[in-house]
Amino acid sequence: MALEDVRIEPLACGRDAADVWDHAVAGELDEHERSCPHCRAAAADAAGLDGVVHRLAQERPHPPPTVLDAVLASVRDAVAAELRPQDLLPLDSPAGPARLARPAAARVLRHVVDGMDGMRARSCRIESHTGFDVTVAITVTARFGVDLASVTARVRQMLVAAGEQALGVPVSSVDITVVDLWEDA
Amino acid sequence: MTTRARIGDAAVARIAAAVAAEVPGVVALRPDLGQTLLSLAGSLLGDPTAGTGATAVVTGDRVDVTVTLVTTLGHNARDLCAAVQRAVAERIRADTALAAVVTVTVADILV
Repeated sequence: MALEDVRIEPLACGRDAADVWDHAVAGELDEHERSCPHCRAAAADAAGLDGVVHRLAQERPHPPPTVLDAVLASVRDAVAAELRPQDLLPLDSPAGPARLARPAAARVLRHVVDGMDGMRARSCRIESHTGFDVTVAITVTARFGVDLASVTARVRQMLVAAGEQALGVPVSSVDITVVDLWEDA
Repeated sequence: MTTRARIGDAAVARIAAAVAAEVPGVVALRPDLGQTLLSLAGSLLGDPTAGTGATAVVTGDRVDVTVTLVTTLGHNARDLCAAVQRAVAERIRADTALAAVVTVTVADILV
């Protein structure tokens, strides 16, 4: 919106109120402005507004608790989600540097094991040594009665395949520890 | 008369974020801590578009871009990174004539 040069009605005594305000704020009221009731009223308005502005400027504003809580929660979430360099696995992308969050990769591998009949994943640790290959150490629980030798071989196969197909990460070795057995209720 | 034009970091980051978000398999971009703080400041100061989910640093005729994203199970993370890198670099080259090195981080895979 363009500012227009609007002519303002002068005070009853003929003085421009804006001039009187400026003089009052600067402490430079002339003889007429000090004695004229119209100018004195305008000067009093200026002094009153000046006082309010200075008082508000000195106040330290406090944000509402809801806003403060929301901001702090966002910062806490961001700090918690911040990935550290050691949390990242390098990916062999031909188009430049690429990384995968280690916790995300571990979650995918655990999900693969959880989808197998008679198996549940517990912990999954992925280590990156040289190049882009990784080693996986996973602990699982198995349903009572399953053939542990064959089922762990199947887990190994599934993790190697998932590493390549879902993550794009070559899995060079898999260590599987069966830490417990469970029975169907 | 000589005219110089410089492309700002934020402008390139905005292009990168917009392009990356359109790549199939990208569920969301995840701002890092700095971007989150920028976004909070922006929302308080009336700029809801601050904090785009990508960062860029322009140096001469090259730009280093970082994109952090979230995908879903079923998209190969390595291939998705390569697709994002190519799409972002090509668009930045077309729009700004800058050569981009795009670093992509897959922060999460939704299962």
